[in-house]
Amino acid sequence: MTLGAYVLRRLGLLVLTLLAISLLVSGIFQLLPGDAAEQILGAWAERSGATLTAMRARLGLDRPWHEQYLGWLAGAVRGDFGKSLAMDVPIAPLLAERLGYSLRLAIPALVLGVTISLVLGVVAATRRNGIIDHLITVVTLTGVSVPAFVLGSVLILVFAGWLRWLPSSSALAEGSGPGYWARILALPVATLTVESLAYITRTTRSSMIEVLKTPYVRTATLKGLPRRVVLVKHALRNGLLPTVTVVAFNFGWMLGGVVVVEQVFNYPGIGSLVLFAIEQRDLPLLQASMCVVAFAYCVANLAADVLYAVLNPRIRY
Amino acid sequence: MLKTLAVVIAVIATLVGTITSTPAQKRGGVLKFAVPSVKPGLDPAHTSTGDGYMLTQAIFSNLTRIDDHLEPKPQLAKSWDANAQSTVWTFHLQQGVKFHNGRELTADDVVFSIERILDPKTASRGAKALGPIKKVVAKDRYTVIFELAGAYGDLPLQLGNTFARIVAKENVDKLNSQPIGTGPFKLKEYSPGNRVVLARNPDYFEKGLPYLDEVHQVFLKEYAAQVSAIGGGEIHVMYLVPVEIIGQLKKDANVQVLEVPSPSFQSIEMFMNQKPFNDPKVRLAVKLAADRKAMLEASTGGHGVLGNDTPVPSFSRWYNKALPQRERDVPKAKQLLAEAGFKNGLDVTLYTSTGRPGMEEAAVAFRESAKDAGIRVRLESVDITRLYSEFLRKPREFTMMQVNWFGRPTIDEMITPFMFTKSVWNFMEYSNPRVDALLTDALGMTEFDKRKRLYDETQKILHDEGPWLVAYFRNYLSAIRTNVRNYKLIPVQYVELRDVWLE
Repeated sequence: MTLGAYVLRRLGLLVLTLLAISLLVSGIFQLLPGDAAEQILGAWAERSGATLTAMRARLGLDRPWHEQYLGWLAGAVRGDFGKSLAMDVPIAPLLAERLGYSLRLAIPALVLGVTISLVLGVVAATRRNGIIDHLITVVTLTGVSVPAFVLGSVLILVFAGWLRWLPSSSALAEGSGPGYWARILALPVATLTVESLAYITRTTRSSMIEVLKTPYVRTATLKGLPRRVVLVKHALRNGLLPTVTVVAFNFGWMLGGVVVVEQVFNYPGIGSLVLFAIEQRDLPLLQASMCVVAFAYCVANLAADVLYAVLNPRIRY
Repeated sequence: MLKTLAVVIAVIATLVGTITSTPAQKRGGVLKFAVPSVKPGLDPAHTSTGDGYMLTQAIFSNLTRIDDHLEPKPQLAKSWDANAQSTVWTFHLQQGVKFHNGRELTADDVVFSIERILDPKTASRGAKALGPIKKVVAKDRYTVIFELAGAYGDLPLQLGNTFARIVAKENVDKLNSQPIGTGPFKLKEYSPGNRVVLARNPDYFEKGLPYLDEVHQVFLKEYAAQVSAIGGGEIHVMYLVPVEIIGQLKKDANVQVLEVPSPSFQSIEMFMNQKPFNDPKVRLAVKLAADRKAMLEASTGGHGVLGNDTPVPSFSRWYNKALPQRERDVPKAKQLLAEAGFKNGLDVTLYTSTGRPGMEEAAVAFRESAKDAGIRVRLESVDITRLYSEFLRKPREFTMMQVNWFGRPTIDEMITPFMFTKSVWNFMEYSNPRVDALLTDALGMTEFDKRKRLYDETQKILHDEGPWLVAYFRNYLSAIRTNVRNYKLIPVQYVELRDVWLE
């Protein structure tokens, strides 16, 4: 199969995945107690009262759930995600805005995390079992072992509480432009970077160790190539392969799975939108946000697989 | 000539006088206001939490305004009067009030807004909270007449509540995210769960107000984050202060803790038609066994006042002062239990929750004090939503419920929804024809003394035989930076921002 056909097939699977996710979300949602109408009316809504019935009718919650789902799906296929029940605004612009926030958080965190991890992983591999290797292992593992909310809270305490350099919450930042973004992104990006270091570093280190043991690297070294050339041109290209998959997974996670980090910093990304949708029992909003997150995961993984093939011409699909 | 000159000088002097004596209020500035929870949506028909009330109060106006003594004051209506039976009320509107889109507010807008709330299709809880309104009519451009189904003295107060905001009809479908009102602030940025930005309305009808340029309502879930932010000057107001953190806040000279008694309370409730609480002796025994002071201390750390087993707090002007404060009396409680057939004591389950501050703490204090009278209480701590939506609505034997109630501004709302036969929140199924008659008659009276006599009798009955142990009322606490001026606490937790300024 050519790469093109492979990508097409994967894209087809992607559509099926999204369909399955939205159906699953909608199905599981029916098991949760309460609905959006009760949320809007508050804890003291009369259970059997006319008010609740009228609110359900307003929101279209009086229809059977498969009908609600199909209605939503018919719209989603045409690019219309419908209206958020809790916020009473169209979902698409809302989602686009939150996606913008999430991308601004995920991309710098990913670039930083990958760059630092690759350097650390290669350094650790070349100084295997030395002091520096152990140091890198300890530091990165400590980073991933500290829960994100603890690290985030400590960073807030130091940089917002004591030094007062940065706002303690995204909601408190002022202004606009690059300065604004730098101020609200600094701490969450730092947290995500630290959280992602260990895994990528470990993967890079172990695959580099394997590669460095191979005969072709030894040959390259023996024929007198400089160490740097051997590492970067010969070893790294093969050593990167497992890392690529890990990086793709990280991207999906940073885009939609970092609910805790977004909560700690009050950062208005997709993750906190998902949580918000669940709390408010806002099914259309939840379905749409989950589809975006799933889409990001799938595309990142597909990109990783394609990159895999590009980096390693031996692999064909 | 000289005379004219004198007049001119006098006029100038007065002008200069007024200019120089203008109060020291400073204009401008951004006030940052932190809330620990948010519920999205700005349609006054459906807001149901303090953070939302605050926003709709800033964006819209009401006919009346509820002040910090819970009295109705003029707002869009400059005056009002009622017929002798208080069944027909006439409100005279301010002229020249402009909506945020520049259109003048008229009596038609008032009629439209009130009718919308009353319309069942709107599905607003306010439909039942405005009083027995039969008809709203615009008599002329600036006069609105309310025709009621029965006499109702609290109408001016109710028209100041959160449901009765006056909205612009041309924008009614977008109220939740793009509201147009006549209030002191306009909505500038709306991102619930993050922040909401309000900007000064330059055409606000009360000349010179508001003082602030902008108000930011920011969502900071953790109180620890709020304490750090107010200490560092990142925020100016903490809307709610749990008692545990008062100490931390008081250490900071730049922060001031504000406190006001409020009609909010936590009751321990007994099902009237279930054993053993169908016996008034058992209910009274429970009320006598409770150590109120210990419960108040446990729940509020002393930031509250003792309750007397009715929903009316002792600082209310409606409180029946002839009622003695109920004191703990263990022997009497034991005796009553024995008379009711529980010589060897009684085993009951009390449902409580950690979902509201102070509830479970008070439940534990109650359990300890009830033990002495032979009432053995088993605590069942459940999720607050389940407590309200499930357990409270299912009467069971040997079961009590603890509930957290928010304060209400009118005396009728304090009692009727809970104690009138089959009323909305009468989960305990209390029913006494005498109480029903008293509450019905009192509703229509406007003369304070006569009306109070009926509420006094109601309180007396509830104090003795009512289904609730009300051990304490909880104060309402907020914190502000000391440079925030004229910030007043309104006991029902409304927030008035139009005359607040920053130094």
